[in-house]
Amino acid sequence: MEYVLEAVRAEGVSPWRTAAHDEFALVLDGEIEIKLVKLTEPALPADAAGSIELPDEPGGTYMGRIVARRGHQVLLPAGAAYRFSAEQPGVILMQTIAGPDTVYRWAEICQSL
Amino acid sequence: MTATLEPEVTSSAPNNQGYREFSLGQFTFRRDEYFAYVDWPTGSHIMSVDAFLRALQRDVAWDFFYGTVNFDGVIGTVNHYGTVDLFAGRYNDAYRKAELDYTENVETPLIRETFKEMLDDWTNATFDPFASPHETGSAFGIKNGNNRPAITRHRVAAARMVAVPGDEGLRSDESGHPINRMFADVPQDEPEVYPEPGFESEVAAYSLFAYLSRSPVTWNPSVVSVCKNSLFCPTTEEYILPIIHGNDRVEWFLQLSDEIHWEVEDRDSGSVRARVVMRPGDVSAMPADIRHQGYAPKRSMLLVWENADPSLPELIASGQTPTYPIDF
Repeated sequence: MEYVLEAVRAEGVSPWRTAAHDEFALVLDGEIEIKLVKLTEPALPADAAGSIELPDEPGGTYMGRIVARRGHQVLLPAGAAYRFSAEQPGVILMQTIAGPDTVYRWAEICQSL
Repeated sequence: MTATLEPEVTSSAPNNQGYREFSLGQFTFRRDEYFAYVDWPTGSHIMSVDAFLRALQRDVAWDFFYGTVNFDGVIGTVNHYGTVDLFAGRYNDAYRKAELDYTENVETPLIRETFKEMLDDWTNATFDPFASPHETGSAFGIKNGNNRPAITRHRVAAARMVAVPGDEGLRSDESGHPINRMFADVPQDEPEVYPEPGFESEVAAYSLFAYLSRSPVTWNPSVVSVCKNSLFCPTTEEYILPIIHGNDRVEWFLQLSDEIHWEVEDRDSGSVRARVVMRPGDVSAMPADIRHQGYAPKRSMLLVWENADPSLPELIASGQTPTYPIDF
């Protein structure tokens, strides 16, 4: 299990994503709308790590939406599909687990002696 | 039938200043108007009692935390998650070379109860060990009541996330959490949350920044969100971290506001490893073989990110997991 923090540039409308575990989005800049759908059929096994992109519109029940701004933290519940929308560029810090789409940049950007 | 025995705390009658003296194995602890005194078979130590109580408060509140809690360069504790090492000079080169260091391994319930009683007895009504120096009265003088509400504050530990129904609640004026004097400029707007009927417990969000702006304590991480063993533990910092934290796992810091200066030393010898100055947006990783102490010129918001996996100390100690966070 490799826990990660993912930095996300939010601009426009994201694909739908889902994870088998809770994730958390901390908005560090901008205004982000998050829509949530409870999936009828889980897209991942219960022990899967990290999030995946859904290829199509999610099948399930609309759970609601959240509008979050700088400093706001949002629960992305296990088994739900979520989609971010941002009219202006924003920044999201994701508390999650490494998944197939995780990109590692730390070794490139960090200062070290 | 199962009988549970309370650990027996060893202490004296009040001394001339009104404070009890405590013993743990061959360690003894006593205080007077200004100082805390610690004695062990091969040596003794003295600390200003306000600094001692601030460190003791963190050790008690965090239940000995992850790894080592150095009260200063001489005394402290190491958490073995079931037992605790109480040491003097163990991580101090001079004491080691002079063979004056001393360690006792104590069952956690006994040291927990002893430290709790010591904190309770030695903290006067005027002193709040969790507060910044500007926001508390004096720790000094002869015994003057107690401050139990301050030293037994509820420790925030969300099961899922703050503001999720049934989990840790928000802070407000009404709950006794006014906005701190140094965070008067932090917006207090909350996110807009529109759950469909039946999903009120799953569609949740809150303002972390507003939540932190109302923290009444310093250098006291709260667990606000939990992704399995990945814990977001933000905290507000002002003045000096009252302990020197020795890591038994990698720990990450994200500076959310203002500025903190970190002094980073070798965990075992205390030799200087690095100095890190963090400003808003800066991220740093503290390796698993260092100890660190922070200095915050103004109250600041710091996001501490912890991995609570209980197997980590053994994996790191055995070399199966590296002490550093990434390969370059």
